[in-house]
Amino acid sequence: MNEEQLADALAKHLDALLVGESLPEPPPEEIASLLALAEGLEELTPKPRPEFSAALRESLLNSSAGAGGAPTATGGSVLPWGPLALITIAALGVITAVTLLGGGIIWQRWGADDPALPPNDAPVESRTEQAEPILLTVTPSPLPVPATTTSTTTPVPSPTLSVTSSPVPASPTATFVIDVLPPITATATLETSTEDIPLPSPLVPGSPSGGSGSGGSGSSGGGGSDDDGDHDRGHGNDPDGHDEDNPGHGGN
Amino acid sequence: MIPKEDFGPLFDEYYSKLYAYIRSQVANRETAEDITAATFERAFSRSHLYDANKGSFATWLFRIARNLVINHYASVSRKPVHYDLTEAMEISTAEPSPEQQVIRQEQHRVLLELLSDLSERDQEIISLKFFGRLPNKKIAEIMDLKEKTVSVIVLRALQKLKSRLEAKAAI
Repeated sequence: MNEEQLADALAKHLDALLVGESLPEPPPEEIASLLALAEGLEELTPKPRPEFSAALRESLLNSSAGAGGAPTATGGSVLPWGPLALITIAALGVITAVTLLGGGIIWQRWGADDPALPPNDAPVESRTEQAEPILLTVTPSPLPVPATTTSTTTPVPSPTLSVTSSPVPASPTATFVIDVLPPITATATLETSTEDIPLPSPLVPGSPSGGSGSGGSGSSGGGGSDDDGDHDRGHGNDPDGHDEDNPGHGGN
Repeated sequence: MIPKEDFGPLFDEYYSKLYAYIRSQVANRETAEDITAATFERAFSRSHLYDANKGSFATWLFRIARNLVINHYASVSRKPVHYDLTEAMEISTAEPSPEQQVIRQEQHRVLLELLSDLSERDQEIISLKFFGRLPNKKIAEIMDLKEKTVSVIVLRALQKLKSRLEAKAAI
C-alpha cells in the first residue's frame, strides 16, 4: 500500500470515527495505531463555555428576527437615501463653484492693486553670478616669529550667488523665489611667539615648508552618492492582506 | 439564501465545532469567543449571498472564520496558542481511577505540546479535521487545496505525532 492509498484509507476511517461510526472492514495495521492517536486528539477538543453559547445564540436569533431579514433590510434602505444624496451632492457642488469663483475675482482685484507684484507678462529671467575669488595673502614681516613659522595662502572656494526668477503664471497668483547661498567666512590664524628672531628673507607662499597643508580637503566632498539609498524601501507589501468585506467564500 | 428559521439549527450544529477550531488558532478564550460571534453574525447577516449549489454551509462558515482569524493576526502579532486541559472538559470523566486520569492527562499534555511543533498549515488542517470534525473534501475547499493533498497531510502529521510521542515515551 503506497502513501496515497494509505492516506485514502485513513481518511475513510477517520471520517467514520468522527461521526461516531465504524467501517465494516478493519483498518490496516499501518493506520490502526494512527486511529488510536486520532482518538486522543479528538479528546483535546476545546469546549466553549455554555453560558457564552446560550447568550450568543439568543443574541444572534433576536437580531436576525428584529432586522426583518438581511436582504430586505439592506435593499429597502437604499431607496429613500438615493435622491437625497444626489441633491446634497449637487448643492455642495454649486456652493464650491460659487466660492471658488468669488475667491478668484477678489484675488485678481487685490493682485492688480498691489504694486509689489510684477506684471503678468514679466520676462522669465534666470542668471547666475559668480563672485570673484578672494585671495588672502599673509606677507611676512620682521615680526618676532619662531624658526618654524609658516605662512599659508588659502584660496577661498568661489561662492556662487544664484538668483532665480520663476515664471509668473497668467493667473492672479505670482511666485518669486530667490535662493542665496549662505555667506562664507574665511579665517586666517597667525601664531606668534614672544621671542624676537629676525628672518633672513621673506617667506614665499608655496615654499616647501608651508605648501603641504591645504590641498587635502578639496577632494573629500564627493561622497554624495548613496549606495545604500534603496535599502529601506520596498517593504510596504502586505502578503497577508485579506478583504474583510469579502469573506473569501470562494465557492459561493 | 438561508431561511431565518434555519439559523437556530445551524447554530446548534456548528457552534461547538467552529469554536473549537477558532480556539485552536488564537491565543486565548476571549478572542476565540469574539471571532466565533463575529463569524456567525457575518454568516447570518449575509445569508442571502449563500448559494447551496456552490458549496456547503460548513465550508462557507469555516472560510469566514478562517479569514477572520487571518485578519485578527494582521492586526496583532501572532502568539503561540495556549489552552489548558480544563478547556477540554470531557477528558477525565470516563477514566475509572484517579491514577489513570493522571496518566491520561499527561498523555494529552504531551500531545498538545507535540501538536504545537507542527507547521502552522499542518496544525490548522489537524484542527479542522479533529476539532472542526470536517471531512477532507471540505477542508480542501476551505484551505484551497486538493482533497488528496489534505489526506496526505493528515496522514503525515499523524505519523509525525506518533513517532515523536514514541520517542518521548522512550526517554
